Amino acid sequence: MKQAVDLKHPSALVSFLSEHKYVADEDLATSLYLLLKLNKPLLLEGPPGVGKTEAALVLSQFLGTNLIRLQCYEGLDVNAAVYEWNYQKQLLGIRMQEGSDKSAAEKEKIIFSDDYLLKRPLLQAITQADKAPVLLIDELDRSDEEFEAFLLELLSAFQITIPELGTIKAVQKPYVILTSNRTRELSDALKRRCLYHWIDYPGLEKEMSIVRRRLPGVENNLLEQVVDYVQRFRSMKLAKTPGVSETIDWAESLMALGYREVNRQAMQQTAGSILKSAEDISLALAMVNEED
Amino acid sequence: MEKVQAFQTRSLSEGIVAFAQFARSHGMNIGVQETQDALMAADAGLLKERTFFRAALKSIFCHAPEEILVFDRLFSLFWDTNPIDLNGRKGKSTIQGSFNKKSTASVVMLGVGQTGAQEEEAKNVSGANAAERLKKTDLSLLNTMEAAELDEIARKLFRQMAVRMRRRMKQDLKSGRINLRRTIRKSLSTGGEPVDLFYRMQTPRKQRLIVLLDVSGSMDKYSFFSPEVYLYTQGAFQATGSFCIQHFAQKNNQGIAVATPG
Repeated sequence: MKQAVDLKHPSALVSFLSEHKYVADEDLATSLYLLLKLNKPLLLEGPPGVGKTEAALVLSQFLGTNLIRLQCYEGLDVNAAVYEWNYQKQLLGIRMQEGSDKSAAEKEKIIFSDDYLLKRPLLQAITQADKAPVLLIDELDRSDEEFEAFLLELLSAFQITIPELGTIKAVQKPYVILTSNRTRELSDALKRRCLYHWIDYPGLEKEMSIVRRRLPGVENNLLEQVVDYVQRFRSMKLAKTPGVSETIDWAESLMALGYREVNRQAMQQTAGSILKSAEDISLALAMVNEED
Repeated sequence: MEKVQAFQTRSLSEGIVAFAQFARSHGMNIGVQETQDALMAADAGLLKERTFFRAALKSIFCHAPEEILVFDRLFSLFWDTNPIDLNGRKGKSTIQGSFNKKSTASVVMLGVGQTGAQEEEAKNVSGANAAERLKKTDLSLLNTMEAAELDEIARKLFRQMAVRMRRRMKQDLKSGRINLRRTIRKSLSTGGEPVDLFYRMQTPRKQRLIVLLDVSGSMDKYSFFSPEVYLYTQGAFQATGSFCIQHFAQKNNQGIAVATPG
């Protein structure tokens, strides 16, 4: 398997990631490096909005391949995740073949061929021929246990069995990244098949460098204030703790409105982009008022 | 099992294997697979720098954020111990507060898992989270704050249940027996081709549940939660109803209970 960029050491990944606006520490870079070298799936866990999904995106850029994303939700089933026969098309296919003199077995072969198969993300990922893609299975904790068990088989053997077509083996083993917000514990069996990395909220320094990387035009004074506020919000008991993506949103909306510092008026106007519930916002406003 | 530390091993791969055993003996769930992965990672050239070596082992050996904390301590204990400091305490570690193992099948097979004695505080169990801790909470020991929290959880849970049931019922619409009448009726508009299939819906059967509650002084703290459950069920499912019949049982001379419906 050939990679787009020659990779000898995780530090190469760190510098690549930072060129692509993703600030990663050595730990994450090493996990990604192992994912590439050992070809094992990587499980990224952490609170919402700390850049789990983004990591997969940047990795696909690093490899120069495409990213195939499967968003998990409750009730996600094989039809939506792996494959489905295009029933309506098959029906038309049967009608069109009515005049031909093919035997029944031949006709059957035609309507159960690739043309009539709707490939969903997981099947797409293992049938991609030219280059191993990055497969992102997002928010796995939201799916049901049955789906998790199904995934187990796919992740170890990288093959999918379709009764009418037989077993399809991966042409190129995809690089798999799973993410979870830890709303429920994933099964031990799945965890043991994966590398593991926990992404936490970044510290003051790191968060500042992330925001600066994303918004190069931001003024230092504003940036310091914004990140300082966000760090304080995280230590408060809020209904929804803001993630890094919210910090970036907030700094961006402050800049768009032309504010050069976070004052009471600025907070009133833009609190919605950092805090996502009415109670949280009134708590934050009370905090700002106290300081004035 | 004899515990070895880094300075006692002769080669790096031996050191890694010994570290895996060391971590396992301190309660981390590390199997043969993990050890093998660690050796492969070493092969991939991750050994030259300490930070990367440590990060690589962490990524392979840990499966939960709680384990990462323990891993960090074990790592420095194993790789940084100076033989001079040990002085006759070889193989003994001084890790405080390491967690107990969740006894999974594979670990029991390795002969190091402990079975029985499951009644310990779930906080100390590897991979425990808030939900797991809650499972082992004694309901009679709840204070008002916790009860309110429990209320919130129950509300969420029943909402989720209702959503899940509705979804399952909807999913049922895609399988099972075909509603022939409706399918043929609909196929008229597509020239007799049954392009859209319709299925028979399965109507859920009504269940009737009679619950006896002991609300005497010693039991009411527990039985209180039972009517709560029905209250929430009613909130989440529209088609449910519940009735409460109070019944005082009194001991009297004839030995017959006197009923007062209320």
